[in-house]
Amino acid sequence: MSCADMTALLHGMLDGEIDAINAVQFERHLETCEACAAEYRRQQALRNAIRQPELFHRAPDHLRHAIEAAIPSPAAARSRSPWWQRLFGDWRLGAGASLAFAASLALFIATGTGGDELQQELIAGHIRSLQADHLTDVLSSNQHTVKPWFNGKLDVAPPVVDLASQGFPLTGGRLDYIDKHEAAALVYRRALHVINLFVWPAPGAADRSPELFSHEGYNLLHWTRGESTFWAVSDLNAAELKEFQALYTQQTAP
Amino acid sequence: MPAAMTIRKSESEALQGYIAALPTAFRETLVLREMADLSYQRIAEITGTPVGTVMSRLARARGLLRKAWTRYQEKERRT
Repeated sequence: MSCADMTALLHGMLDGEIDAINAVQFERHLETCEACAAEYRRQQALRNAIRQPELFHRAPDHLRHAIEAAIPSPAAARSRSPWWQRLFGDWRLGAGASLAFAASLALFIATGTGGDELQQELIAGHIRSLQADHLTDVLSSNQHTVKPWFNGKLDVAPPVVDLASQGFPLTGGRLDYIDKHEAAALVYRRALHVINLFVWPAPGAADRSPELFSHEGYNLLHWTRGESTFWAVSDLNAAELKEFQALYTQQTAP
Repeated sequence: MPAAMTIRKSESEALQGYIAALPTAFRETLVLREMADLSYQRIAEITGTPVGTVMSRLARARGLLRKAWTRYQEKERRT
């Protein structure tokens, strides 16, 4: 067999998807072909790198079930929407438990932007907060209650201000864990929309004006000020989210 | 220890970038295999393609990634 034929066997071997006869044939070939042996070693190293926990969390069983549930039925297969959109849609509706991970898989495939991992984490944090009883740990519209609540729980308590008179009432706050940091999450509302404002310290970071990102119906605004990083996440429209950002920044100015 | 962790972080960011840059069909197949750990048969059913296509997409995806990864490592070694 030629080296070109070996390519299919190489990947089958990596994935444990070839039979014993082909496996033996492949191993014999490696003994005599240094080029294929080197490529196999490189592919094994790459596979180890891809599977490191920092890159992907491995899919738990429930995700596998969710993916299988999203497999097109013969009727649905004719629809043009890819299977992962159904997976994502199911997750957003809250059908089934623990599908936040499925959402990150779907987002990863859909957007192809692995660099957006943080944004996906923020959206997941926002969604988690919408589940019953998880929105706030300290339920108060009083900034003088919310701010001290963070003292001692975080290295830096976030600036807290109630914006009720401007149409963005503060409803509370909680601790979250984003991008390997403990983060303060301040919860505001705009009519029926919830805004999660995530804040964590960014020592030495220069101030940055707000930058808008959008993912699957969520808007995210990111800015840096006073060595803290801010992410506002909501399904609110971009214009009103920017309005919120401007008000919050203005009213918490030192 | 912190230095080693920093290196690992930048490596995984680079890899994520290379995966993100793959054509969608290749990326989808690779993610289902490596992240969701599905068999070729299941991936074929989900993506509505023959098993042979799954195999060739995986080979192409890994081939492209491996080239990008090798370039990245060589660059890192020089710097």
